[in-house]
Amino acid sequence: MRRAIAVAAGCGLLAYVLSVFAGTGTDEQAIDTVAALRASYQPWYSIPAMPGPEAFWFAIQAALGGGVLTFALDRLRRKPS
Amino acid sequence: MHIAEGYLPVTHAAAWTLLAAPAVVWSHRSLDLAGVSRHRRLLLAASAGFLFALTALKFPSVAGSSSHPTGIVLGTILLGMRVMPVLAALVLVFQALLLAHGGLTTLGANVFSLGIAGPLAVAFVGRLQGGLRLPDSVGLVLATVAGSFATYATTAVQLAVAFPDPASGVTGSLGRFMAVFAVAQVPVALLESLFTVMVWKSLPLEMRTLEAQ
Repeated sequence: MRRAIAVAAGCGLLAYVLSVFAGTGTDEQAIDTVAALRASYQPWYSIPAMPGPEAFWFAIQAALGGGVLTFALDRLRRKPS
Repeated sequence: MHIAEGYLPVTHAAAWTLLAAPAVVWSHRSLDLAGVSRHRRLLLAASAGFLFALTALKFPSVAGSSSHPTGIVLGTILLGMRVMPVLAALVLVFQALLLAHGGLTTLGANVFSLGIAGPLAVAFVGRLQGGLRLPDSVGLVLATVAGSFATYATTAVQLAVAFPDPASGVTGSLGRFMAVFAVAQVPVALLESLFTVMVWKSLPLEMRTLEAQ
């Protein structure tokens, strides 16, 4: 459990730093390409963004994933009773 | 690989949703969380955790671009590709609602690339690796690269079909979208395969069997 929490924290931090410092995402480049191909296209639906920086939510996702992964791996390594 | 919210015309969004939905239902039926063994439940948790953690990372790539790893290899080889559509749908809904990455209207298209096309390629390479008796780590690297490529190529095709180039048609726009995704994805896929091999090596020896075969 301790290890899972430590890995979760590490993954969260890594995701936060990467999200802040990594370059333009391919998803955004694809949007630019759509704009270049069809300038008139307007997205026809959007959902309101969550408050706070994107990097924070990436960190939450990575921490959740890393924590669950480590917890499950530790349990798998233990001999089943 | 996320097509942003609203960035597929209504008919395309509906068509991809109709294609992906049966796969998600079929996938969900295989989970059987109540009746399943402790061992399989933990493998499922590990696969989902791996998918969540990896898709939250944004690796820097060539020429100032960045891209996400796919995280689909562990689940596909440990449990088979049938579990992947529902896991992919789970992470994509999370990202659409909380991260404004991808979207609900493009969920079908994104599930199709990450949860169906990618795992299919991974399973194919897994089978190939078993046949050729390649070492695990070589197979995992190949499977990660193939899965990542299939996922991103599918996204490129989905966008190209929706937005053909005025002059050169679908082939022309496919070239442009592939240039965006394929180039950035190669270093990211190689980096991702390191994570896959690392987790694989930390599994107990008897669990390192390829379900995909």
